[in-house]
Amino acid sequence: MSSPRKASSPTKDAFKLLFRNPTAVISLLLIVALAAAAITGGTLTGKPPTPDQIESLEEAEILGDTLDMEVNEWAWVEPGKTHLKDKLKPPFSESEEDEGRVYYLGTDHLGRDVAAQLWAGSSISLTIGFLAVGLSVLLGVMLGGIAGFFGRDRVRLPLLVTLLLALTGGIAIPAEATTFGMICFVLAGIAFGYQILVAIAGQRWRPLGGFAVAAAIACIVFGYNIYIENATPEGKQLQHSEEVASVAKDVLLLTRDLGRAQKEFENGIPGAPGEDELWEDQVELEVGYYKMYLAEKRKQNVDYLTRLDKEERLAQEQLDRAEHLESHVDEEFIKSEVDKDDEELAKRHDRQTRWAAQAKDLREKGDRGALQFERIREHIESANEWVEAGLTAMDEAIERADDFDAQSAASRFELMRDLRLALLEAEFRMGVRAVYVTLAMAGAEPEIPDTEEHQKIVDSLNKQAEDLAASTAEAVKTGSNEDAKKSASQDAAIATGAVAAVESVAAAAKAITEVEKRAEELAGIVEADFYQASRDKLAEYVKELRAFVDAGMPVDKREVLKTTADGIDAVIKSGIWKQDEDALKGVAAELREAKDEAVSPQLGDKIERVAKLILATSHNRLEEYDYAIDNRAARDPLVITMEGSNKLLNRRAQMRGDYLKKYEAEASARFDGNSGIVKVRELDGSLRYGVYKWTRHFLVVTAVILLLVITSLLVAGSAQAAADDLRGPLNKVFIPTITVDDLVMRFTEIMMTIPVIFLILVVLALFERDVYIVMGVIGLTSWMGTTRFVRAEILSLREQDFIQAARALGVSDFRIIWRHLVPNSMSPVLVSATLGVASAVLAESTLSFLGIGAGPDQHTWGQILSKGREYIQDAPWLTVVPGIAILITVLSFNLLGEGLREAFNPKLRGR
Amino acid sequence: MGITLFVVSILSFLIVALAPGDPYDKNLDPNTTPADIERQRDATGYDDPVFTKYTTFYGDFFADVGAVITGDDDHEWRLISYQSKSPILPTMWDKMLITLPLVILTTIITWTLAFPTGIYSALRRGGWQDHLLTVIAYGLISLPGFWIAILVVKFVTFNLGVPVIAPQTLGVELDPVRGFFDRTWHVAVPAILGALIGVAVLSRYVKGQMLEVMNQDYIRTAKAKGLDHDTVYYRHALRNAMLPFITMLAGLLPSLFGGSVVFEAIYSWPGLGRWVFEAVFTKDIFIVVTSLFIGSGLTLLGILISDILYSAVDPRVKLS
Repeated sequence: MSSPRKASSPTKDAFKLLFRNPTAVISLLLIVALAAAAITGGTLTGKPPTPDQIESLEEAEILGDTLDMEVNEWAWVEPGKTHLKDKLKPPFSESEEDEGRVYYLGTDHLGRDVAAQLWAGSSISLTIGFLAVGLSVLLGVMLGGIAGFFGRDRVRLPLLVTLLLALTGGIAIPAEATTFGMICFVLAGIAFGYQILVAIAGQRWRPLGGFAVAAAIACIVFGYNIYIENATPEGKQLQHSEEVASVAKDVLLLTRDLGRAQKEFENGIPGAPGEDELWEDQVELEVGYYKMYLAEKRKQNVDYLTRLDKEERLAQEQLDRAEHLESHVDEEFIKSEVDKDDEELAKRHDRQTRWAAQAKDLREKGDRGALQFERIREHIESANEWVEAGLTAMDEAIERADDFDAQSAASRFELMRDLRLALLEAEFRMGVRAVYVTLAMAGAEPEIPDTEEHQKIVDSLNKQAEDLAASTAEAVKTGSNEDAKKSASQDAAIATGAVAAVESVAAAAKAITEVEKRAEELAGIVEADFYQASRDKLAEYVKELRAFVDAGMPVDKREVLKTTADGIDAVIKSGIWKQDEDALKGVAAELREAKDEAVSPQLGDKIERVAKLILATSHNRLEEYDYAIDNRAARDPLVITMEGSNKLLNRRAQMRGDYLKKYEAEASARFDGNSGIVKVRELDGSLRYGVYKWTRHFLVVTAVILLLVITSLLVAGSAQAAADDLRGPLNKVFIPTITVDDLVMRFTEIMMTIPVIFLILVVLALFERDVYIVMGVIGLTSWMGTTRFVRAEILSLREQDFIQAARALGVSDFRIIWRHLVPNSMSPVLVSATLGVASAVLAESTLSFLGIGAGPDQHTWGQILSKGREYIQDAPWLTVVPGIAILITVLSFNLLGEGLREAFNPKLRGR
Repeated sequence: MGITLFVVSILSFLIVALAPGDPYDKNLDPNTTPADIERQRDATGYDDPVFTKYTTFYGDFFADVGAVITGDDDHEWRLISYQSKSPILPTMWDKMLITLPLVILTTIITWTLAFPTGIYSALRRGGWQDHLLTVIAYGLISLPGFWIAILVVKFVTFNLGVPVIAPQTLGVELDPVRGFFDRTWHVAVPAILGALIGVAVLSRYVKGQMLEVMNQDYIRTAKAKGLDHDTVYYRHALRNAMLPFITMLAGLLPSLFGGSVVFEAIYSWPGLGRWVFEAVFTKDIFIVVTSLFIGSGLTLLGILISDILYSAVDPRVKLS
């Protein structure tokens, strides 16, 4: 558009009118000032700290350190700075802590300056308003524009049905109706493919481009999702959980099938499976249980490793922090004599000493942590290897079970025995590793490869400890003053403790070696005479371990480690035989008592943690099994095998009578329809991970489909035309259509029908408290008005002469939209956007006030206000001041909006 | 309309039912074991596929609604809340009875005050009265409602010594006369506050409509032929200006149902809005879906009624 003559455009006139309106100008100036405050509020003020950070504020202030908190170098107002002496000061009062400082708007309960907080908060509060309105205007203009401009295009209902099919598929899959969803997807895919083919055949490239863009975006989103699942520890956990879930599901399905087959077999229905097949199924079922158990173990290990990663990072942080502190410490200065009279110097000396001590402490902690973690990791990884070995053994068993047909009962038992042996070995190895992990957690040396070499290490440690004890004793004797004596005696106590610890470590190490040896032995025994001896031998080994501990331990440690052994014993047992829950609880209680007697509190804590772990594992597992299968025989097939072949057969017969019948009914009730994923939760509590994953997929799928819908709508016209070209003889066939206008406006109506406040509540309840989500929700629920009037505006514009002229000139749709329609329909949008900012700011503060808006560390005005409400009687300004700030903001946006409305529509003047 | 309601039923159900989170996650009772919870999940059908859940839910819902409509006293309520285990529709009715006085009073005050002020400022257009009313109206529109409510509660309760929290003073036995005044205070304060903002918004509309009509040719004609002002303004102008407000009636019906979540939170009214608010956060999905659906249904009903009224009042509009 290159017109040389600058005619007075309506927009220009409107702005001239606007600037003659004093109220509007004042509001505009106010808004500019507020915007300036918002921009500077984000950069010039520091970030308000979280409640946890407030504690460490003091130290940070001294060090000039960053800690965990972001302190802005350019900040000249610190909203997070606390002056506890100045708390709840009314406005215009002077500070007691900081001479000459005046709190113009008072302080809050932590003595933080309200004015500074408001300034800092303005950045979020106003940004939210603008972003929310931006979102709503974008949606409104887009949909309104589509409805207005393409409104008369007709979308063929089949295309619409295709889109709906895709959408239904997207919902059906996470909603557990997998088959139905897949059918929907396939149908939708075929229909889309047909559309694409039509577009290619008719040489219409635009719809193709649209589909390509949509497909590319979809690929990116899916790719990102896959990346997240494979590259993050949480994603890996998720994968393992899902594995457990899928095995669990298989097991449940198998149980159901087996139950049915059993019934048919018993009733002698013709065509029922033979006994051999039943056997095969039974083996498969049992293997399924073991696999599930092992997969669960593996998942636990992975969970533990993930947690370990985090703790390791923590240890690393401690080390970093220690290094940082050390860099601030001046060793020479600490050693130097400080003149007591120089207060400043003495203060500095104190501080330096404190830092040095802290640094030392942190470094020790970090080092110890790092060492421990490395070892624990090793053990867990090796335990994981055993899990894998167990799983392989299971697979082999399944293979062997395949040629069961002609096998005798004896060979069946051989197979069962091998199967259980493999499991037992894996489990036992894991148990041994668990002992190592426990010891490593308790701070003991877990590395025991060679007894002799180990003995050497222990001896030298002993010697060191004795030396230490002797030297401290010497220090106590020769110590000149009381303080030194005290500290030296403490050192002596520590040294004695160290000696004891070293001793206990040695004993424990021996015990471990013994356990491992026993394990080897046991494996041999198991091979030779599994049924008779294994149970007794296992019990015996534990007994021996206890005796060994009794003999070789210092008195005070004996109890602790003995009960630890008991606990471990119980865990191993519970894995195989599932002892009574009460017994386990007793063990845990004992462990806790033993903790009180432990010399080192650290060791005690660790032991308590172990106790808790033991309790938790046993409790959960027992509960799960109890509910899943209410029959002890069914619950633990292993028991049966161990009790002998005759008994086994009898019990199996019983089982057929009892649990399978019962379970069959239950299982078939559960598996009606296509559901499956959620139903097997009884078998694995962690299944919820899987459900979450599907929910996430649902969101992704929906987003992708929405994109497809929009692009399809945009290209619908051209694809339609191409299809019409192609159809030829089919042209006479009636195909129902609907106008784009109807489609968009019906959707808008539906959105207007749902009560907005409830909708916002529901959506906000899904997410963590975050002000940016509030923003999105406000934007997504307020676009309907804009859509309606943009549509009306464009409908009236597109009939005007200048648009017709542009059309006649052959200007493309895109250009008409961008150069003619959009600029000419923007004035009402501008008005409604300005008013929209006002209502968005108001809505945000209301939601924050209700406690569902801003997150705890996002200091928006609404947040400040709702916190101030607690102190309304003592400090009303905490409520009044942010409220006035909101009022002024909203008022100026409203007035400006009104001014704009008048300016763009002078007919309305004076209303 | 039927299609709209159907789509709304699907949408509101899906938004709530597919949301992550689990009402059984927080096991507060130490005596319930995980197994018990699993049994509860089964009993309430929480783990059913969404399609099944949808059909059962709306089946139960319409069965209950049918019982409400036919006045069936022996009906066994089928929609039960997850958390409180009480039937949803009767509870909703009880909560609504608490909310209704407040909402009705607010609406009455709003509509009776808005028209006179709107007409007055339209007639005094450009005068100082108009300017004053405009400024007040804008101030009121821009007020954060919850904020002014807090301040007023603080003032009335602490400075005047009148308790206004909750629908009536709790834990005190009052004689009928005092009880009446007590309740009046408790209803009046929130109602007046709510109405103030409503008046500001509505009177702006009234003024706009009046001005629109007064610019029309027939008003000029009426003035020209020498009719007195009252006849012109109240017979010719106001009657025509009132027409669009019939559409606003559509919004009244759902507001009677929904009340105000914010005001109920501030004044601790155990009404409908707060009930739903709490249900949302305890993931009591049946309550939430029921409210969403009934709210949408009432909105549609309101639109229908206002359409019918409009065509009855304005002969130019015909029902299609």
